[in-house]
Amino acid sequence: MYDSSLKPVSMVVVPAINNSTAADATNLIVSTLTVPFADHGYYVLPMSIVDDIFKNEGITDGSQLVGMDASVFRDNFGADSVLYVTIEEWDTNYIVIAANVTVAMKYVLVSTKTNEVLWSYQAKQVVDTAGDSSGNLIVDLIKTAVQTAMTDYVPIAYRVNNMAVTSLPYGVYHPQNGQDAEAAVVSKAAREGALAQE
Amino acid sequence: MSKIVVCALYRFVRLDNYEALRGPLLALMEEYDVRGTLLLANEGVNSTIAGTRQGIDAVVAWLRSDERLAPLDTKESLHDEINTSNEKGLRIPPGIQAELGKIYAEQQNPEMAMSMLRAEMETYPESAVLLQRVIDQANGGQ
Repeated sequence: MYDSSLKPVSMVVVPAINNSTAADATNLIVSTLTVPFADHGYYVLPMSIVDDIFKNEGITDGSQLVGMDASVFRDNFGADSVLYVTIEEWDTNYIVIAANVTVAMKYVLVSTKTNEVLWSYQAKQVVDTAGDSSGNLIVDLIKTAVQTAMTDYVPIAYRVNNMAVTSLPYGVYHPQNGQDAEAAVVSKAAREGALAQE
Repeated sequence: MSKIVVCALYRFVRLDNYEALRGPLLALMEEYDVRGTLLLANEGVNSTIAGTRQGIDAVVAWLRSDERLAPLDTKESLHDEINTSNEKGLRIPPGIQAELGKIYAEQQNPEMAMSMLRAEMETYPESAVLLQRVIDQANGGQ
């Protein structure tokens, strides 16, 4: 995948770039990012401390950091890598009685040593919020509207994050660190073996 | 030995009779062998105490029985994470000790703040640059 000497131990998550129409998405997303990446074996620098530093510097949206040399995060935070998250979609779509809630995010992990992109991923979840039809159009309309309004985006954002991290190699704190590449090769060999037998 | 619970609590409210609260509170804490520093002042109460589950509950219940202190904020869940990790011989999850350090710093408890931040740096050396910066800022700001 990439030069293993560049494999990061720690990452700093910077404020998200928000391309969606929901103004509060940037703040809501912060709380959902630490756990999935930490569970995957990476040391995510404590968000509340990092966030205070960004706020003191007047940085509230990741778009203010675009084009910045990533070594800044190495010098100031001691992080090996920096995670840029872009919120592409965070909204509700209505089609008469059908409705869904969509959360789509893009992740780019950049090395603070070389400015190289180490990993990137785009993930999206669409959750259907229309209920079973009652046979009455007005009732269905109201039911869908209520269910959609009540859908909490945060658990959906968690799911998007969890989908994304599965494509990232395990970090040093994960018990399977360094073994996942081997596991992929073994499963590929097993698959080829099975195909040869057919 | 029963498990020790560490509880951070605070409530900022006008306490005109704060001196009168001192005696009964101290007696209760001594009765349950609850240790720590509890600041009582006419602008409220701010404290980090440690003791058995029953002891902490008794002190918190006593404080909350005063209607001015009923909305008292307490924090122990992060310590639960640390206790569970220690019991099971697991590494304490990243950031927990740093977050607690930040909370203690905000509660003007520099000793607990420093010990938590240092513990995080020991568990996760890669946090050192950031946390040292936090410590330096706190020291410079005094």
